[in-house]
Amino acid sequence: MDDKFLYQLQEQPDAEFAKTLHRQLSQPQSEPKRRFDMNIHNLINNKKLVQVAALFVIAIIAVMSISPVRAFVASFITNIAGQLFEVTADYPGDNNGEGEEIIEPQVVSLGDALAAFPHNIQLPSNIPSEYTLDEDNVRVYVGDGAGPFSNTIEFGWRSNTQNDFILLHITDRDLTAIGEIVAPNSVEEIFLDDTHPAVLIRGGWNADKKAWGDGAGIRLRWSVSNLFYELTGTDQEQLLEIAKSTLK
Amino acid sequence: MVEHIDWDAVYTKELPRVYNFFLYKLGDKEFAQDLTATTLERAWKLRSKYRSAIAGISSWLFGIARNVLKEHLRKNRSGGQKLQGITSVEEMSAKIDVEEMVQQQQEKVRLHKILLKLPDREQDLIALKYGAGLTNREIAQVTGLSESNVGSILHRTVNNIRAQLENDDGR
Repeated sequence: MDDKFLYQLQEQPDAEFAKTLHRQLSQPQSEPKRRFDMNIHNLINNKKLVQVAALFVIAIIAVMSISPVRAFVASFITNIAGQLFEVTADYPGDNNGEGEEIIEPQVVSLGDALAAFPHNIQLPSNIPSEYTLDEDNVRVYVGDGAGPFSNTIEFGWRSNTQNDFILLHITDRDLTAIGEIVAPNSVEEIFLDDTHPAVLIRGGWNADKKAWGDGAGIRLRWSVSNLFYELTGTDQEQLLEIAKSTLK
Repeated sequence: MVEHIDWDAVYTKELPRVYNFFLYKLGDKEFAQDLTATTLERAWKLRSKYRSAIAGISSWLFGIARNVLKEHLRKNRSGGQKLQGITSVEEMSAKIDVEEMVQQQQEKVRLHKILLKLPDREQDLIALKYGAGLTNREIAQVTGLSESNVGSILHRTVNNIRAQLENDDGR
């Protein structure tokens, strides 16, 4: 087979780029943090650390016992549909994942993902007809290798007519207490049926514009049988219909 | 047990392959550089998880590269792919005749346009084979297809590309 013509697009990466990247990777901070080496035994043996931690706890208790302070803090923490959120109009801080261990999911077929996932999942039965399951992007995080992401499954549907994607994220991690930082008026409680409250979260922090915005789309989060479901998309009604269909 | 990897050797060998994989897939040098950097950084962080008994280093690395690409495409779905000259005229040797140089450049652009219109799977296989220079066996490991399937899809796709190029010439 004469296929030599297909090699003609190959080129060498820019030398400066190659050198810079090599330098970055060679730097000591590229090493993953050795936090896992610090087991409980080591921590307890570190007397200075224990003393500082104890002082910190005492200080927190003292501050929280002053009622005006407690009220001030509480006013920024809100409980919506049983889930805690920290509401702020300000800069929520960077979360670029620097220094965190990156966990690679297993990319498998939906059937294999469901078989690997250790819980029974209610799949939605009401997906809009113009959407097709994206079989190439089914991700599952299970087992010890998945670390803090275990056990999670993620997959979605791609619109055949426009650039829309609906993502479904299901996990057994407790999402009620994470205290996600959100913009004022961006979260509301919404009922899927009489017994299933859900949280609707609009938009997110736009790191480029350094402001809250609608660019992140809409997320709908609810829980059934200790599993947390989160749908991400752009159409609120569409997400609601899909979510309701998991309860039937 | 953590396996010893000669990271410098891996870097020297795999950097151009990973870069060309992304270049073939996206046709954009800046994206190719960004995604290459992300892939190698991720591989470096995950190196303790690499097991040579499960996959060769190239297969492992390109598994990560494909995930990085999928994440990129998911984030940039609305942006579409832009086609950039694969090699700018200035970068080509001054010794080459100008007319020949322009012709070569046009041919590359035409070829890349055809690649970008291929279905995802065929585009993947072409980028892995001719961009990254993987063998059919390595491609089979990376994609989960059988080796013979890889061979026949590539054969069909190459013929298809050649036919499209010839059609363009005939116009």
